[in-house]
Amino acid sequence: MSFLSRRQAERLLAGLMQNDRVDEIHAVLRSTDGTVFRIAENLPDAPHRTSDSSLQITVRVGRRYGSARTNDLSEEGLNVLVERAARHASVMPESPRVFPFPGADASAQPAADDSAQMRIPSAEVIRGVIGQSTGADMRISGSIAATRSSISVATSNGLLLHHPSDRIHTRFRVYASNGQSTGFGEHFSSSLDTSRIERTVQTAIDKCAAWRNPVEIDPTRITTVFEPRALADLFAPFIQQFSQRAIEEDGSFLRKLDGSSFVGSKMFKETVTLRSDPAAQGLLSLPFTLDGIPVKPETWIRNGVIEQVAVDRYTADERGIEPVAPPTNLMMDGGEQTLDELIAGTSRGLLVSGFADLRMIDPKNCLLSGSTRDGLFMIEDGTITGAVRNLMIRETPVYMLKELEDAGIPEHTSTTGTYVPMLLPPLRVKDALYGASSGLI
Amino acid sequence: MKTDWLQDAVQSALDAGATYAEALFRRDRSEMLQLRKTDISALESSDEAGIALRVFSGGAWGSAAVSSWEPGRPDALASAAIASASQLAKLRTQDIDLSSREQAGRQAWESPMETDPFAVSIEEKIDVLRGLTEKALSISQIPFAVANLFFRRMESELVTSRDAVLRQRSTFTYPNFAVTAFHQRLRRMDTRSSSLEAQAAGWEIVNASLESDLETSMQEALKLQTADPVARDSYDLVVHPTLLWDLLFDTLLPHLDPRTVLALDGNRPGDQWIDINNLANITVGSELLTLRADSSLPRGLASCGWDDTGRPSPSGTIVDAGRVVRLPFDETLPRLAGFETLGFTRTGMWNIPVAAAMPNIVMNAGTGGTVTELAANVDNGLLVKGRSRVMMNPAKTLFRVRPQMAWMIRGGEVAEPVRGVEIETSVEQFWKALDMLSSDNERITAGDLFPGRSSALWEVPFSVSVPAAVFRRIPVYTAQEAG
Repeated sequence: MSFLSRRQAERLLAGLMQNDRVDEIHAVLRSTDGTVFRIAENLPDAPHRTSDSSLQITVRVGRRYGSARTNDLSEEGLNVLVERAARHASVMPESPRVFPFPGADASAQPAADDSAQMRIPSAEVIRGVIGQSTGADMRISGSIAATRSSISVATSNGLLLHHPSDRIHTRFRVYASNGQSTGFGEHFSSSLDTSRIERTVQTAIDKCAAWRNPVEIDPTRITTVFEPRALADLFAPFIQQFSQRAIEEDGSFLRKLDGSSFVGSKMFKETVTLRSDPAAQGLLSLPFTLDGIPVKPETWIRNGVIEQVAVDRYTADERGIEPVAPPTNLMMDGGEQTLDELIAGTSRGLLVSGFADLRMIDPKNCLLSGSTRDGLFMIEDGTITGAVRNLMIRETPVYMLKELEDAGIPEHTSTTGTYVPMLLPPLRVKDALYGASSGLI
Repeated sequence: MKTDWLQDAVQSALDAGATYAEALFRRDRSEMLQLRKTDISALESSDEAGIALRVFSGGAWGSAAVSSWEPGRPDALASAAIASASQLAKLRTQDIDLSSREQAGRQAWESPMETDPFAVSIEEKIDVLRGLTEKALSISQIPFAVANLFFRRMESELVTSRDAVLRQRSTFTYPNFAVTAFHQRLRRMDTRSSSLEAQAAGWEIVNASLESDLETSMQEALKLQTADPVARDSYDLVVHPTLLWDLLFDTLLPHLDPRTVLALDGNRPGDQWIDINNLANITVGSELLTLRADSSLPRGLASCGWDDTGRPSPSGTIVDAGRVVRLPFDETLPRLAGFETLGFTRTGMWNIPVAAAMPNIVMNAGTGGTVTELAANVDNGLLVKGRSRVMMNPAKTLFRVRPQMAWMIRGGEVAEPVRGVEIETSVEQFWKALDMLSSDNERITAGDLFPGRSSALWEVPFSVSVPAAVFRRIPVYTAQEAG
């Protein structure tokens, strides 16, 4: 069995929930049918098709919980799975609080039709990608992955949520023939669009062509224009800190010294508004969490004021409030300027296209460190004057949004590598902090 | 999975025009238990299986995979794999060389194991872990202890159109713990973890050495509490094998993966140290550095009878006296003209295409005797021990590591422990500073069940086996104490 439609998932999970050896069951069922076409240094590899479904369950037996996972979804396989999870539960310590798994949610919308077939890239598409690269005297590596997948969350208390998605993930890096400069392009879409693939490859080629003979600069604080993709990688760890639990466990910049939170406080420039909505056009994302909370439209920052943080089911129950799911996409309000206009308004600064190896250095102020990549350029008197060797950045989005100078027109983008749809503007930020050269090309 | 189904899939592929086909059934089981202090805090298990069919048709490889729960008809999988090959054939074709593959016959290989860890009750496993944490926590200066058990089993059956049926089973066991000592007055916290690493073995290794290892770790954590910080300087380092294996694993071996050398990973970080055009002249370490691939290494995680394409598992030198002489390889990679390769193709899971994999790597020992005898050759240095997180720069040319334990060496004698030792140097400089090797009796074999932490290209566990060694004039910094 490959991709599971809602009806197939429903039938399978209904059978699982009838198991009466445990008091409650919570299940996460994933299915996928995908084909990946890889290219390495202009050399294509055979497209590889994989079909799989896997099931992770958590069961409650009395006051104890246990989990197990399998991809054997036969009747016998499901029985063995429940037995294994129950066995695990039997040795776990008793939970101080029994908290029922969620029940049927009237707000859950039925999924869209998920019976259509997905087109996968052909040899001709791959030939075109390689031709684009060799035509520019470059070498290309990367992949086009076409995947139909679904995720279902169900409980023995009647909850059943199902979300299908089709995804074409195009991701390529090109290298100049001398190996000394590189460019990157990535795009996620819900259907195969050859012209979109061409544009993604062209983005990588253009970046590579522009990033020639980079010069080294010393560690510095300097005004920076961040492209939306670079921002997406900075904002992904930032938004995770909008969590009541993280605040209480001292893992968020939103915690005040006295242990309370900055919710309701103005932290950022007036122009900063950050929202999420899983149903937003062009930004469709998972409309529920894996523990069954519906993801609703939220405003996390409004006009610089922290308005909302995610609250998990346990914390919400303790406080007697509704849980708030973390965002599965992100939208930031912007301005009227294009990226080029933001650059034109910069007397001296850097243009950052993306990052590599971004890591959280200190969660208490969301301090991140990593290398710039795939295009770092010097801006002087409103124009790009040359390429700069990649630098280690040591900066926090908290500071960036406080020192925001200008925001451009929002664009669709995503975090690198994993699809988290975002609509973000390019930003110009005063005095971002950079260390020494990272050594990356 | 029934052998018949795999044979039908292979035959269907041949009927559809393939000149060669191989069907690989693979099942992966895992179990993990964790005790924090005396309470069980995690217990997870997983059991997944599937089939991958690989065909050579029309001058190109093709592949498709499906879970074994409901694999459908064998000819459907064959059609998908043939379709994959025909897509590739439109873009490029190549020759196939089957000479190194196993021919007709049923054969089997199993990693040695006395007691199956999956047959041991969960209660017994918890008792062992609780015994460790309770013993540690009985010492008042040790307020925190954690103990873990990881088990993993990889079972496979490969059926090829050369009529070979190859069954293999590897079982991995990884017991470990960490104890944390806290000094009330000095407000210092020091953590030591076990030195035993993942092994291809069964339950028997769990009880064998954990208790004495725990005793050593506790004593060392307590000693560290009152130690003085190391002075920043360049030192001669005697590197204990419990640290050296991880330095080899994290810093040097990622550069020797063929996909990195060939820049095929699509994420080449920077100027390649190992230049494909100059392979024969590359020096990656001092003349004492000799590394061998060994697919029959006792307890090695990559030890096996055959790779996942049915070729007998390889052995051979890959670095000889500091020079790269051979690389692990697979047949889908572009040939390295005039350079020897070791064919070794494996898959991390049933649904991942097979690819070049790292075999077990053995570093040759020397004649330097024991660790103590190595130290006798050092006037002003440090003995450093215990695996820790190795931090690499994005280009993976520099590294930083804080060994778990360090002692001063003065006039050839191991002296008092010191704290805050942070080694920071370039990968090339470090391995070229290798100056002495202990004898084989100090050797340890260790591996990582999740090698992807070191290189995103690595999906299949492998081990390294190292002696102790002396490295000259290595920069050491004083690490900042956590606030």
